[in-house]
Amino acid sequence: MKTPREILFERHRRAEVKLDRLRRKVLAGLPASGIAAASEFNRSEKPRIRAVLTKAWRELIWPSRRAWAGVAALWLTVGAANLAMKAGFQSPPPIGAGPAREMVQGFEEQRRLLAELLPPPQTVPPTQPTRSSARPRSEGLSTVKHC
Amino acid sequence: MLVVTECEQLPVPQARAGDPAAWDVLFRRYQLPLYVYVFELVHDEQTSLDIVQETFINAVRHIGSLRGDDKFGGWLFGIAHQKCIQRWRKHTREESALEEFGAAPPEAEAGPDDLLIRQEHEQEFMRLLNRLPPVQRSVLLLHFVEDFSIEQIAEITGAAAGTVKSRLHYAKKALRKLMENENAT
Repeated sequence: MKTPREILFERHRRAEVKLDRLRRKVLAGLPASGIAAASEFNRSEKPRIRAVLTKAWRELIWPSRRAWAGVAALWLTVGAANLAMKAGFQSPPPIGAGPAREMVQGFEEQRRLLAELLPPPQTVPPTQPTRSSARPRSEGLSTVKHC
Repeated sequence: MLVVTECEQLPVPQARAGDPAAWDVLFRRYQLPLYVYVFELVHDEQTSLDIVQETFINAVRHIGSLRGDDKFGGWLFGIAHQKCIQRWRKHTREESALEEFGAAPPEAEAGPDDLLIRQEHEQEFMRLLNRLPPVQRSVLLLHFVEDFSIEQIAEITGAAAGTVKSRLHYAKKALRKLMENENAT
C-alpha cells in the first residue's frame, strides 16, 4: 500500500536528472539575473547618472553661461527683494501695545482740554408734551359753535 | 523519499542575503515537489520544466516580497501556480472547467495519507486523478505533495479558505467514488 504522495514522487523520479541540470543552470545564472542584479544596479547606475549630469552641464549650461549667470542673478535679486518685503511687512501690533496706548492717551488729553475751554452745555429740561385741550374733540367743536 | 517535517529548517535567511549555497539547498528541496505539481496540472514535460525554472528565477528575484521565512514553500508553489494559470489562459479555454463547486459544509478532513492505494491500482489512481477538474486536482495535489494546510492552499491558489475546504472535500470524495466504481467493474 502506498500513499498518493509516494505514487506521485515515484512516477516523476526520472525527471530528477533534468531538474538537477535545470537547478545548476539557474544557480549559474544567479549573478546575471537575481542577486547581483540589485548590487550591480547600484554599481552601474551611479556612473550613468554622473555621465548624464556632465553631458547636460557641457551641452546646456556651459555654452550660454553668461545668460544662465544673468538669469541666476536676476532670480537671486527677486528672492532677496521678496525676503526684504516680507520682513518690512509685519503683522499689526496687538491691542494694548506701546504706540496704540500713546495715541489713546493723546486723545484723552485733547478731550480734557476741550472740556475746560468750552462752557458746559445748558441742560434743557425735557418738555412735557402739551395737549391743546384735555377735552374730547367733539366737545371742542360744540364750543366753537356756541361762540 | 522526501519526508516533509514540521521542524524542517530551511536556509531562507541566507538565501535572502544572496547566498548561492542556500539557494541550492532550497531548490534541491523543492524541485521535485514543484515539478510533480506542475506536471500533473499541465501534462507536458518541457512546459513543466520551463515553469519550474521560471519559478526558481522569480523566487530569486522577488525573495524580498516573501513575508515570513516559514512560508517559503507555499510562496514558491504560489509562483508556480500562477505560472500554470498563465499557461492555461494562454493555450486553452478551460475557464468553464475552473467553475466553482457549491460550497458544502465538509467534515473535518483527514491527512494526505488517509488514501492508501494498492500497487495494482496505482495506474488507476493516476488516471482518475487526471479526470478531476483542474481546480480540484490542483487542491488535491497541493494536499498530497506537500501536505499544505487549507490556509496555505488558499494562499497559493488565491481562493478563499472555505472554497479550498469544499474543493478538497469534493475532490477526495470524487476520487474515492471513481476508485470504487473502477474496482466494482
